[in-house]
Amino acid sequence: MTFWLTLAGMVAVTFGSRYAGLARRTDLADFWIRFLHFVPITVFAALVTPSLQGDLGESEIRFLAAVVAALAAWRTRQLWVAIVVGMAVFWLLRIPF
Amino acid sequence: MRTARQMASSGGSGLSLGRVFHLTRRERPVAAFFLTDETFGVAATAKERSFAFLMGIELSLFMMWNLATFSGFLLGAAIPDPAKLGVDLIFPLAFVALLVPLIRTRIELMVAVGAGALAFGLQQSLPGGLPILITGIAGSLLGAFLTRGIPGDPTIDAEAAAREVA
Repeated sequence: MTFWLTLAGMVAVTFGSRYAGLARRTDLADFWIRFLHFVPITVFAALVTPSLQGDLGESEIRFLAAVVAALAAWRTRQLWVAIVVGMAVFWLLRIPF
Repeated sequence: MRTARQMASSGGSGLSLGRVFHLTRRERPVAAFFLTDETFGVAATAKERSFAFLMGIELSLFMMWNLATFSGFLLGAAIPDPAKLGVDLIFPLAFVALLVPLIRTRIELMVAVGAGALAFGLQQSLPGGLPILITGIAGSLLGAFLTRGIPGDPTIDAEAAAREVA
């Protein structure tokens, strides 16, 4: 029973919040339109930095790998290139430690 | 933790996408159902703005997500310890790659760097998705404040600029 309650709660929260956002017919003030423009930028940045730390005490090389990946993404605009370059840098930097 | 993070970002991403994708009443619940941070990331940087295109992104990710999860389940036992390999780094790297094309002006760069620093700092003392929620709100408020007086819709301007580059 707890399982189904939890499941229903999860659906309400995850689906509900998305649907509410999509369904809103927006006629917003200029300030909030500019606010929304920055939502993906700030949320993506906020998803990146906390997970760069890692659990194995390798935050420095993980951070470096992300910087190189950002440069690769900037130059190539290719998601997979950024990931491959970032992981390659990370694993290479890992060797001496 | 995943739930709190999703709540934090999905309300915003729904709102943000709802503005640029004009969906019918019937299309909205379907689009909302398959919406994730990742689909949002791809959709937000894309030029095409139709329901079919959005569903193309959402369903390809849905399919790959489940196929990859299943193969991970099958292969998991064969790989020594995925955590030790550090493959979890792929998550922030993917979001770095999604973030970079969104940054076109100096203000956007400043806001992104500030948001990254804030989330990192907040994470030390706050649980789960809270740092992301707080950073998203505070950072976007700052961005909206810094871009005041710049004529026109920055979203539309940025999209037009992207189209010229592409």
